[in-house]
Amino acid sequence: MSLAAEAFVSQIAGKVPFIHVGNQVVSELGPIVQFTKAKGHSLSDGLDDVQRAEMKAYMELVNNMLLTAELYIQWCDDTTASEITRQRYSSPYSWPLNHILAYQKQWEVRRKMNAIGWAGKGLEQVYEDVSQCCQALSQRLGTQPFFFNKQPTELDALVFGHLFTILTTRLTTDELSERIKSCSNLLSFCRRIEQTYFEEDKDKGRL
Amino acid sequence: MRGQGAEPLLCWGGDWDLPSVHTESLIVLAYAKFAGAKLTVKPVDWTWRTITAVIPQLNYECSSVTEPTQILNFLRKNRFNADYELSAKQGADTMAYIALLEEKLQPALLHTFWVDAENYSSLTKPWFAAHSPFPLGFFVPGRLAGAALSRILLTKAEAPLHSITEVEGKIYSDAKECLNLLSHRLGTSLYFFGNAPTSLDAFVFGYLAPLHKASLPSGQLQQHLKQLHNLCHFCSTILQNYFTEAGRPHSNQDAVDANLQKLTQLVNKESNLIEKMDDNLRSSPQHRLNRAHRPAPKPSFQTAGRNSTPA
Repeated sequence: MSLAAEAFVSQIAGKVPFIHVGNQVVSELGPIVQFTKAKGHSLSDGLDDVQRAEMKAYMELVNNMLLTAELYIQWCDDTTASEITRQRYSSPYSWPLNHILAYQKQWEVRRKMNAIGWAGKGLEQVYEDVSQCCQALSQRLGTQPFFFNKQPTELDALVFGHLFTILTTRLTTDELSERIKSCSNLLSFCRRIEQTYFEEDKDKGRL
Repeated sequence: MRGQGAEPLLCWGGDWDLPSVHTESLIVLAYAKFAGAKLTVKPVDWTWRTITAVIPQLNYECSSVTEPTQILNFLRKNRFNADYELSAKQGADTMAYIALLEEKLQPALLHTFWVDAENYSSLTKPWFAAHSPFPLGFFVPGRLAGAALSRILLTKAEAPLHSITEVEGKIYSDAKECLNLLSHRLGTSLYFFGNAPTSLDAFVFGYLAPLHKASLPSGQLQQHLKQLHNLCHFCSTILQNYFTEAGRPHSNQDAVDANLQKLTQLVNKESNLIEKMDDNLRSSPQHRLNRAHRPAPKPSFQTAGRNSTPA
């Protein structure tokens, strides 16, 4: 799918990621997980109630901390926003739509940060919060291959997605990726998943 | 703050059997009790602070700390640490569960108290209006309600595309799921990590207690909570152990009263027995012959009765 067409579909669906199955378009991780579960594929069936509670809690931690921090750094930090984010966000569109959409998105994100109390936080505080979140995840992972024993679950997918993005996206500074790299088990977790699940696909020529 | 001077904490006042009706204030109050920190509680009710201050607020020396997480961090740094016994993994779990509460439960709580028309007009608005000084009573509830609505919309809906009605269903089902998860996690324990309450217990208590205790006309979430008996018991336990009549002394007084009652009952029993024996004695034929020896047995039975009770 070309970049422009994807951007168009994401406007309709509202959010990426999305999957397009037959007539349906399902977006965002939660609904996609439920969709695949309805089709008979679920990763968290083997967990008991307490473990499922923990898994959901850690997923919310990732959403609460990592996602918000990513948004903050991309849109509320002036240098990053002007040099990298706005250009990247508006690249599929032509003038003047690119300017309008970029500034609108920035305004939305800043309103959200205000509402949840992150507007008053400085960049250092945000990095500190990310560090704490990574340490919590690192503690939970320990020396296991995945967060819940030997099988990957939705939490592994979510954590991998966020960490991989942070590690591979070039920003104005490397502070954020350095903070993640300081937790060595998280780094090896990301590498392991990338090698196990994504390098095969590369060989098949899909990615 | 070296623990001696009780630092003033600004918070909303109490009602519905709770020390405060405001979630964030409750979190801080509960944590302070768990950690043994002495705070001077200054309710902002009926003062201009209802509109000027960010609540809860802890004032120390010349500056102040707001927001429950920051206040708890501050208390921990000053060695009031209720999480001292937790392992690193339990600390990580605490962070995760607090995130769960904020993401899944808080929107529905805000909706229940501030956006739901019936609850807002019959409970929340009158309460906050009555607890604000004139003329702020006209502005304070509206302002808080507006903040609650915008928070829900900005975090859960793609504002301004969606309206509140489109996300209502989702936020309530998320909240019910969150309550179920908390109930599973708590199980049959007294607190979330063993037998001593920690910061997670403070957060859960702060979120659940108003929902548990308020008399909401339209309360589907409250109905759901009432079915989760371990969570209700959790709230009641904390209220009983830490918040009845400034905590422990009340339960001591109860124990003393109970002992006194037991003592009185035993003494009464003994004196009944004595009277019976006395009657028997009087009616016995030998007594009629030996009237002079009567008074001796009584005092020794009574003193024996008193001595035997404290065991």
